Amino acid sequence: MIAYVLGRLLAAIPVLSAVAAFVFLLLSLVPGDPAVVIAGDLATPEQVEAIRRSLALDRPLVERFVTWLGHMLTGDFGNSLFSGIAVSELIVQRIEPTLVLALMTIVIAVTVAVPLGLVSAYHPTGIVARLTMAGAVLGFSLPVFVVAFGLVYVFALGLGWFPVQSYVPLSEGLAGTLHSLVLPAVAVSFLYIALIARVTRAAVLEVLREDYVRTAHAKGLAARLILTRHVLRNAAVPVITIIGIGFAALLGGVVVTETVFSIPGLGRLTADSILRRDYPVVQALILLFSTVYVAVNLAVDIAYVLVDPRIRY
Amino acid sequence: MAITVSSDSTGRGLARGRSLAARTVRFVAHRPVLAVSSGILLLFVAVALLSPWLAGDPGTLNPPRRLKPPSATQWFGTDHVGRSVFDRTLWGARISLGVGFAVAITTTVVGVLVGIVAGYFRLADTVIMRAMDAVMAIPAILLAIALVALVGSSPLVIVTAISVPEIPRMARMVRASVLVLREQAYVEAAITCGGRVHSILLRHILPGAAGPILVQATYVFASAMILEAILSFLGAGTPPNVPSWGNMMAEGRQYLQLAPWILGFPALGLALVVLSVNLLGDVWRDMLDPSLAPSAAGVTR
Amino acid sequence: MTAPLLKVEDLTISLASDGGSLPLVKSLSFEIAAGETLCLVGESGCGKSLTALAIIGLLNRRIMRASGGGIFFEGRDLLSADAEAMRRLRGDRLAMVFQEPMTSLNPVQQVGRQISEVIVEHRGTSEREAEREAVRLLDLVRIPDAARRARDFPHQLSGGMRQRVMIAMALALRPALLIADEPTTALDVTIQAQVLALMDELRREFGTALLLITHDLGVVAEMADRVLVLYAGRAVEEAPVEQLFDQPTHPYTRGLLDAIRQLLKPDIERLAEIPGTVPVPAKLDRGCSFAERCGLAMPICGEKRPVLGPRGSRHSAACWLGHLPVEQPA
Repeated sequence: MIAYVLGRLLAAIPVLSAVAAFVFLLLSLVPGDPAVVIAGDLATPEQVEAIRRSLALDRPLVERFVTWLGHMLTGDFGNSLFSGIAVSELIVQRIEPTLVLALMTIVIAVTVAVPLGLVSAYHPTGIVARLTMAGAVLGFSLPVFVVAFGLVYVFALGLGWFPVQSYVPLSEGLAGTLHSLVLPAVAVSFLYIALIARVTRAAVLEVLREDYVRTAHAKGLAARLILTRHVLRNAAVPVITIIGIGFAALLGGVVVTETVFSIPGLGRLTADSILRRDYPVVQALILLFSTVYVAVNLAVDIAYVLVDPRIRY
Repeated sequence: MAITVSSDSTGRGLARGRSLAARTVRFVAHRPVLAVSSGILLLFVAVALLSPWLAGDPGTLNPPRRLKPPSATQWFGTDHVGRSVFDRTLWGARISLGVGFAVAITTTVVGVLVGIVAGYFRLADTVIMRAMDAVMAIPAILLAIALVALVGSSPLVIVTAISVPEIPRMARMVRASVLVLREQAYVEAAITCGGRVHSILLRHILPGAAGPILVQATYVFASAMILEAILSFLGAGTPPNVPSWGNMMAEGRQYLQLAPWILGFPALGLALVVLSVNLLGDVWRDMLDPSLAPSAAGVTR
Repeated sequence: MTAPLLKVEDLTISLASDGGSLPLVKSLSFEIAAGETLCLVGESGCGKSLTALAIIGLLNRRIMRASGGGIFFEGRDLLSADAEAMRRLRGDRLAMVFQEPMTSLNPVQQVGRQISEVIVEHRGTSEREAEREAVRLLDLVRIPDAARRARDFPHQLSGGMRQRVMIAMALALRPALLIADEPTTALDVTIQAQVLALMDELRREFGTALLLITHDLGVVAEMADRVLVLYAGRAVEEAPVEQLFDQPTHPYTRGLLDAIRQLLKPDIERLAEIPGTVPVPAKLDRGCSFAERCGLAMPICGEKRPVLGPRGSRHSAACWLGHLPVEQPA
């Protein structure tokens, strides 16, 4: 088991290195002189020169990459070109809303999607199944910001239940924070729910055909018990897998949704920094998001052992 | 005792549904979803192709008649500078579907090539799949906006930026099909008989994987249109003066309370197209995957 | 005579398709007395398993329909019982052991728990007590080191042990009727006899009646009190086990017996077989279903269907040869 976890951690290294190289090389995709492009039209030659120096653009590519990677590994992400603040500090400042939003989204998505998928599989022709499957296709067909604006239009502008924008920090109380994030979290979870509900339904349908489910019925167990204790547990592996894979959709959704709701989180920071070409911040954030994604999926692999005793590492 | 047996019904059940064409015809008759979604898609394709003739100039400003709700003369209302939302929505279809189509083609061509190389040539497999893992580890939206924002928003860059995050999924799926297919007796026979690599790939492996590739391409088409809208919305997509649905929605957001139609109509158009493409993909997927017959025992109701 | 434990009356099971319904089991009637063992014998596809599933109420209702006179168990009609009443009976008064021990146990649950949950469900005992009872049951089905094995998962047990777990689970509440559908077919030959003997021993101890489904006449000879032979969804012969083996009257039964008897004679070059195959259900319209394959078929066999008629005090068969004394072929 420990060997397996170590092995997986090691296997994550080449992936993350490739991501790092990719992120690093993004800069060399910039046409012309990156320093000029990044500095923008109104920059003075001195500013351009400063940027060139701060990015060490006068050094050879490989040397720059090695130096940069070394800095990344030691936690030195450089300074923002826009504000001059250290990137690590920016991340610390902005991480709270994003963490809360991501957690809320996962909780909402899993608690809604798994029961929906379960019921849809158990009553495949029932009204819940039809609505869930229709809702799932809709979830795949709407950009997250359209969902967000739809929610804003109805629940914020129309009913006035939630704020249109504005994030209430945790320091002012958990309830306020959660309330301010309800609409964003629901918006982000829409696609996630669609993904998880569909996979849950398919996995449960497959398990329902298994002999041991027939055995459970032959034992006279109540249907609810069979579904929770026997069926869901056996359908867990694909469901956990999609929760991990769908995490990428969640991170992307966070970037867009934080922009829509003006939430001062990492997603907003990412979008703004990309548009401002605040290169060190973009590099660090993409690397951070990718690391989180890889870590989540590593956790998923380890979770398999907990749900299925046949899987041994 | 008389026993009524519907022998003809089972007979027909066995006989029908042999060829794909016959199955397709039956599907249309029995699947209204398929009929409606292909109808909607065809309508939008027609609009996209004919928008120069169907719609007026999407750029005509008419500030005195700004933020007017839908009416008999302005079916979809006007936006914040008095432009016709109807004209702009029609033009937007051209851009949205165009990007979707271009990305689907790009992703399919590149993804199939990469997948076949990875699946067929063992040596290249590890390196290619690690690289694909790396691309997949970056959220698609981030990757695309980063590419567009840094390189500049030309149509080519936008299509590339949206294709890059889609390629790994296509490549992985093709690779998986190739790995399965190359173990099949008929492919192995072709290899044993000394068949040339490219002819084995073309004659045996590609046709075998064509179905899943088509379905995946459909999903790519749908998600590319969504991604394009998101890029435009974030300001990293098509240039602001282009009437893409994403740009229209980005501009309409400030007027959500005052003039919801500015955001609403392009959103509706996008939702309808993407929905019908996704439904088509689902239908094709179901046709490829013969559903398992229910067993005699089972308590599900 | 007291009322039988189980009385199946005129049971018909049909496959419901979009075009109509296709009967797979046709007006089947039989009885099982308390503590008795009835063997249901026939080729695969003859409707044995469907009959068992219909009794225990686990037919897939989306595609299968059971209809007819009724299935009376301990005096109540299971065909008209509601789902909740059936659920309460299952695992308690009525239990079943399936063919596939490898797939019939939940792979992600400890086997002791799989036994104890039946007890908790139907008796409402505490988890702790039920677990202790599960260990006792595992001991009873001769699982060595039962207390430790109870915490094993199915994949850690051999096929024979898993089937013993299934038996422990089925007999946990001392049901009045145990249905076993080919319980040893999937096991090694060497283990088959052990498992059957164990099942029979516990069954006798608990006073449980057994409906044993098999296609193996060796198993029938070993276990049965009475035998019911099914062909293409119909009962063709029913008799106490000795009578069936000594004086089979239906040509199909005789064919089955000839086939197995010859297996015991090593010098036979070519095995006797019943020519032809079981007809497709839809084609059976009139006459005897077996007529096409029957060496003794007469004109009437293709015209009219023979009904089950007496051939002795507790012996009956559905054959037009019925009234004539049938000579054993030399």
